[in-house]
Amino acid sequence: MTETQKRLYDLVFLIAPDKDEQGAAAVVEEFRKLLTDLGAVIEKDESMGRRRLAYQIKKRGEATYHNFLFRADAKAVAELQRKMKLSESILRFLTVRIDEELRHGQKVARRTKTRTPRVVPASPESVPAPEAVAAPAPAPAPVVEPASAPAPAPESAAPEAPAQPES
Amino acid sequence: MAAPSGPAARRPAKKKFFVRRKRVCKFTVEKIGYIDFKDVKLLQSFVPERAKILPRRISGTSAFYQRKLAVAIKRARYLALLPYVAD
Repeated sequence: MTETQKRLYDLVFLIAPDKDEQGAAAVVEEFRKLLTDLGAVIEKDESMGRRRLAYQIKKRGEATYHNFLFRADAKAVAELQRKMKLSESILRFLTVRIDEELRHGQKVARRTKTRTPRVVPASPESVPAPEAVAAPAPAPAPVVEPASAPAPAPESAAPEAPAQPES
Repeated sequence: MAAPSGPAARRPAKKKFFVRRKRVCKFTVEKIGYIDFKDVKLLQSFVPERAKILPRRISGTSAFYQRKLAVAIKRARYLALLPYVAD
């Protein structure tokens, strides 16, 4: 094995609101640089914008969120966490190793069978569709029994058609 | 009486008029796999006003995804994306 493996981490951190936009960008840039210096490969670099906090952190009611997705080894992450802890402008941060969670999740998702939900309102279009396809098929067939004439008439209201003659 | 038959018929019916809608695990249907703790909108739908995690007996989430969901919600709480308690 070659020393330590690089693993995929998801990092979110909160920058104190006392920083203006440029100040926040500078903080992000600082850690971006730190990451690359530590040998990390950044896969995603996204600002989540300024948001209201669900509860106060250090008397602050809002913060600028930023998200990094990167590959790095354990040592790099430890160093990153140490730096973040020391930084005054970082209110809070969370690093999660997500490679295995992702892989497992995808595996499970792949294995789940796609079943067409019957009563579920989620896909109301998919249910009438097969009926519409099924209805025209027998329509041209009943030449044998000419008892009910209006076979070719309603293409659109195929499922409702048998209900009408009652009224 | 005839219309809502399926799921309600499972249990010995105490009240006949109680209509129970069939609940489906959202994550299974949409094949989500990994529940991202940054997806506040998604998570919020499983955290009612009291800020508690919606039990799967109500949401219909499968056991597998309920465990993932709980972890995701707790991570989001730590980041103040979701509240720990309703204020």
